[in-house]
Amino acid sequence: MTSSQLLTIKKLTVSFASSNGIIEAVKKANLNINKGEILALVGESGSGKTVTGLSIPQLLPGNVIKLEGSIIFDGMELLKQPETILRNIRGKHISMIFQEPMASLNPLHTIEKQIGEMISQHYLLSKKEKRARIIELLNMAGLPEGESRLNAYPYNLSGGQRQRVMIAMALANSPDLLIADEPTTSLDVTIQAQILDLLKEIQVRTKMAILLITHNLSIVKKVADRVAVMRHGEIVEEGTTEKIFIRPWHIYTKQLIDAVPKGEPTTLDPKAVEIVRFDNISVKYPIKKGLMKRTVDCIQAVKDVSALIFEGQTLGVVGESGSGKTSLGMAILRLERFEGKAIFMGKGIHLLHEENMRRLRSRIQIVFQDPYGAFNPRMTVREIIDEGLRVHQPHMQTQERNELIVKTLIEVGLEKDMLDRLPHEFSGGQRQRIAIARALVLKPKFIVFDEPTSSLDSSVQVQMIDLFRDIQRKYKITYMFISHDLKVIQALSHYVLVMCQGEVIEQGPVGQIFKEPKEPYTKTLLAAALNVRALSDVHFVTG
Amino acid sequence: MFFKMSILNQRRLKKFKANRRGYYSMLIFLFILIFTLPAEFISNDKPLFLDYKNQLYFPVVIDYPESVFGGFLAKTNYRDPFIIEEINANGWMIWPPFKYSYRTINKTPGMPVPSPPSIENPLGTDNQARDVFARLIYGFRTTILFSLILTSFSSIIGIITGAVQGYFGGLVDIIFQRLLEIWNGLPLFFLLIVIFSIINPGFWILICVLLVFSWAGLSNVVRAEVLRIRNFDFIKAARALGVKKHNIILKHVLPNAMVAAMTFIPFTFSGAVTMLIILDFLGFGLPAGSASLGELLAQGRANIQAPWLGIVGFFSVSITLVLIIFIGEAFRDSFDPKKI
Repeated sequence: MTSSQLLTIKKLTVSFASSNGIIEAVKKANLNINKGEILALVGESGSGKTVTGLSIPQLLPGNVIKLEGSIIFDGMELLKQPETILRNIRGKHISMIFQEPMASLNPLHTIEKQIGEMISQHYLLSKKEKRARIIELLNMAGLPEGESRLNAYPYNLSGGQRQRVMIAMALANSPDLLIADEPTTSLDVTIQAQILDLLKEIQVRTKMAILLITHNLSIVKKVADRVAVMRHGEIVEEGTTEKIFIRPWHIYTKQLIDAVPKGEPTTLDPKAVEIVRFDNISVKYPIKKGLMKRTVDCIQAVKDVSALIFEGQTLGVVGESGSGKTSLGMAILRLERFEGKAIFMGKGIHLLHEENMRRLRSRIQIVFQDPYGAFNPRMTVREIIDEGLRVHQPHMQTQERNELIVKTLIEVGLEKDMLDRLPHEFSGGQRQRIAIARALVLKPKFIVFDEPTSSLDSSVQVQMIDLFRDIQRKYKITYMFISHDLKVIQALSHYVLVMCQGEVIEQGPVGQIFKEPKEPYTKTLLAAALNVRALSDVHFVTG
Repeated sequence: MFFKMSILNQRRLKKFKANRRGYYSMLIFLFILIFTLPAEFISNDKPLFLDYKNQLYFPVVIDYPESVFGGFLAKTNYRDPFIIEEINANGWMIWPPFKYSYRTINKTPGMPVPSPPSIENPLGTDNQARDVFARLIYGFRTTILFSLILTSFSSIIGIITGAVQGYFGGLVDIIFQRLLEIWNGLPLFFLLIVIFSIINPGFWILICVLLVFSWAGLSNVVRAEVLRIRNFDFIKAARALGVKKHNIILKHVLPNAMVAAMTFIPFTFSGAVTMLIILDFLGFGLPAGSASLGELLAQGRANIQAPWLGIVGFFSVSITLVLIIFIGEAFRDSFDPKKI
């Protein structure tokens, strides 16, 4: 072991007991982290990267049945170390930050108390010294008005600010190693960029090492010094960031790097007819107070949005969380009350009677973001796809119905023998295919996609985008595609709406928005999403 | 459909069986229940059937006037030595395993009551010379049937009201909630005691009165669960598919909300058992003379000199409740979706 090595993991094997038998999460993984470097541990969901991270400070869940190998931190073997010694290392020498900052902070304690607790775990400071240190830490984490934040509770802060507090907590005792498990995944793109810059800056300043666990290769490109690629519990490739991106030798690494949404939207038909027209759509959520819940005020989620969508085209709706993009999608489906006019194929959706709207629903369909919540967990795939058919084609024979279900299922890339399985037996990507089959079987003219790819791994994401595009080309279906991911939007949309706080701040053809954004907000959004890419274009021209 | 269990239910059954404490409690409970359900055929002061002058009689099922056997009472007393002698002389009779009903008075002259356990009365007799073992069998049956009926009705009402509140939300929910808050604020026992000192409760009246108060707990659980499920994407998806409202409730909301309700029901059941025992103990429950566990406990308290009453009462009540709670726990865990 050379003096520059901070952490050495050798032949680490971790197995869990589950109801489906033993799961080998990590298989003989070897990993080195040098002092003061950022090592990115990359892999798709289920690859064992989080388990590897958790096994360093030994914070694994209770159902671990096998934990073998060796983890040497600063010359000391951590595995099988008694709890008292580990406790001294955790927080002092090794800190962690997690994906979901709201769940990692105690909602009932102030920021001061939570950071202070971290310090007093390991050092004895006077109240005054401790407060000074907390303010210093908050400053370091990019919360400059630290003093006024001391008495804030987690719910007073935004997602990005919470993650900054988590970082301040992690830095409290100037650790040698920071394990950051998907630290930016739940944040908006612009905030993501800020947090990454912060981590990089702190790392440069304090010379601590960071183990960055992520599935997002753009983040890796931006900040990591070295990369380890993990798949099915094994580390398949390790090397400098430059080497991994320019000359990946493992086929899986190549796949990962190629898994970027690509391709052009379908070709435009200049004679396409208008399918959907929004005229001054507004969505308001009432704020209710008091014993009888009277409406005292309202939040305007969508403010006077107007847009046009033509047959066979895709309207991409971009925005950060809370920008009202989902509410807009729900309004056109009339799953949300709205004001203004929504015209679908010449019919005023806002005027339709309940029963007529119900009949029209086979023409307008939706695919949701969360492939886990989108299905009744008690229904089989057949029942799920069949449900809409039963409503809209009540006289169809069972035989005919079955043929149609099977045909649709094959169309979306699934197999016939999956018909009688329950949704939880499928992966995220497969579920999203089922969701499309459910919509497609009704032969809709218009489909709203609400962030359909954001909970999927990047390689699956790419396949899904290809599938969406193929279906659009084949059936001339009109899409409204809601996403925060600009790359996905770019690969599918013809026309883009940029939304911010309920308002459309810029709209135009996709090329125009991406090449010549006018509004400063659009520019920041593009910079945050494509900055990473610009970097990659300059430094790592793949060849 | 009923016989073909879904994969989910198969897994639940497997998990229930895997919880050995709950599973064995269930077996013991079922055994006791099957043993006590036909109480009239297990422990009775009438023969199961008899042959008298070459004719078969079924005294357990049909009441015969004593004139049939040469007596004079309107109902035959089969424990009368004269009748026994008469029947045995002209035929035969088969008795149940235990020769006492819950109200049979077994007074042996010269013996003080309550009398201690003997071969004749395995658990002794109570202060009215009635066999404790027979009263235990009948009392257990009454308690369990009472609680089953009460639980089923209060579950039905609770689930329906909960689903309505949760699904429609808004004003319906607000009115219901305020009503429930007032309802739950009523001092239950005080009210019951007042009500039952005015009217004389029978089995069904008791169920009706308790029902009025017992549905609220489950209603809240189902309401919360429905409110949660209502926001799932699959409900929105069903609406987007054009599924009608009542079908959404029946197909999507209720079956999923039932999981929470199912985990609650065993504890409603044990609550009903406790409630009946308490009311009987206080003397506000089933009419005087009925076999009940609570009454046995009250007798045990009143007759400290006869410890068998208190001991039998204590063990029967505690074992019943412990079994039900173990079963309930196993039931709840097997329905917990996180552990499947």
